Amino acid sequence: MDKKTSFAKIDQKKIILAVFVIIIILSITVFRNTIQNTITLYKANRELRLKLSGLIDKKAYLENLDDGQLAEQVRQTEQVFPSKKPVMEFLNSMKYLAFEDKVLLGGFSLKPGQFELDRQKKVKALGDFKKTKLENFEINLSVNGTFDDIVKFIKDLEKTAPLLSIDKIGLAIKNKEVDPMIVSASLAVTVYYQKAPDTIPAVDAKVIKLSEAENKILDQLSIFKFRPLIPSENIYQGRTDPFKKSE
Amino acid sequence: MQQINFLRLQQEKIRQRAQRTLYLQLTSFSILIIYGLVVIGVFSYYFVLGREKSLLEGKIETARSGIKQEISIETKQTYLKNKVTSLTNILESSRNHQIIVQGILSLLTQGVEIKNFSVSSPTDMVFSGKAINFSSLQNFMDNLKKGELAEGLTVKSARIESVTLDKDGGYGFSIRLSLSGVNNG
Repeated sequence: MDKKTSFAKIDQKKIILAVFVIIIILSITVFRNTIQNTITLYKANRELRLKLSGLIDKKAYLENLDDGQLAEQVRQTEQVFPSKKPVMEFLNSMKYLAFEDKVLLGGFSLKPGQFELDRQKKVKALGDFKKTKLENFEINLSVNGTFDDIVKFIKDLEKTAPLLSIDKIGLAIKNKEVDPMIVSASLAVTVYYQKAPDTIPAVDAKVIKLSEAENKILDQLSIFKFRPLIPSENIYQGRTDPFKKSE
Repeated sequence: MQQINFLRLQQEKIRQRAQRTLYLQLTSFSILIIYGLVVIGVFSYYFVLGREKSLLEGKIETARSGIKQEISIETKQTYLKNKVTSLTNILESSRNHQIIVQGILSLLTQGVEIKNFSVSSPTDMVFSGKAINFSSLQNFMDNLKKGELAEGLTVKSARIESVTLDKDGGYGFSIRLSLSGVNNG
C-alpha cells in the first residue's frame, strides 16, 4: 500500500515534469519565431539607441561650431597651405619678398608640371574620413644682397605663404672687404600643397573634431604673410583700345 | 465500544487520490497561468520593442536631417582636419630647419662660403663649403669649435668628412654635425 502511494507520488512528479517539458517544447516550437524576432528587435533597438546618441552628439557639436570662425580658418589655411599647386602665388610672393627685403632675385629653376583647372566639385557625404595626399614641388633660386638682407630674406621666406621649407642652402660671401658685405645665397625650397577632400564623412559617421593642439597649429598660420595676386583684369595689358567708347 | 470501519482504507485511498487530483489541477492551472503570462509578456514586449524601433528611427531621421543642415560647417571642419594633420609635420620640420639655417648663418666667417647643406635627420646635418685660404679655414674651424650656433642650438659632435686643397689655393671641406636643441618630433 505504501509502495503504491510512493509510486503514485513519483508518477505525479513525472507527470508535472512531463507537462512542463511539453509546454516548453511546444512554446519553443510555436513561439520560436516570435522569441527570435524579439531578441533581434532588442539588439537592433540597442544599436539604434547608440546610433541616435552618436547623431545627437554630432548635431550638437556641429551646431556649437562658429561658422564664421571656421570660414576664416579655412580662408587662412587656403592661403598658407593651398589646395591647388600654388606656382603663381609662390612667384608673386618671391617677387614682393625680394622687393621688401632689398635683395636681387634670380636664377629661378622650377618645373611646375601640370596645371590644375578650376572646377567646382560638389562635396559628397560618403563613408569615413579620408585624408588626401600631401603634394609638393621643388624650386631652386638664388638671391644676392647684403648679408643682413639675405638673412632677413631667409627668415621671412619661412613665414611666407604658400607654405615651404628650405631644403638646401648655399651661402657665399662674395666680398667681405666692402661694407656692407655682399652675399650670394642659392636656395632649394619645397613648396607644399594638399588637395581639399572631395567627400565628407557619411551622416552616420563619427564627427570629426579638431584637438586643442590642432587648433593651435591653425592659429600659428596667422604669422604667415600672404601677398595676394593682382586679378588679371587689373593688370595693364598693352595698348588701350582706341575704339572703346568713353563712358 | 470501538467501531470497526471496513471502508477506512478505501476512504483514505479516495481522499489521497482526490488530493492528488487537486494538486495536479492546481499545479497545471498555475503553470497555465504562468505560461499565459509569459506568452502575453513576450508578445507585449515584442510590440513595445517594435514601437520603440519606429520611434527611434523617427528620431534618427530627425537628427540626420539636422546634421545635413550643418553640411557647410562639416565640410569646413573636414577640410581643416585634412590639412592640419599634414601641417603639424611640415611646421615642425620647418621650425627645425629654420633654427638650423640660422645656425649655419652664424657660422659664416670671412673668406668662407657654404655651398650646400642637407639635413638627414632632425639632429644630423651635413654641409660642404670652401675657404679661400688656410687662415679662413682655421677661423671657421675655431668658430665651429665654440659649439654655439643659435637659439639654444648647440653642436653635440662635429666630424670633418673631407678637406681638399683646390688648384686655386682654396680649401674645400665637408662637415657632419650632430646638433642638440632641435626638436626630434
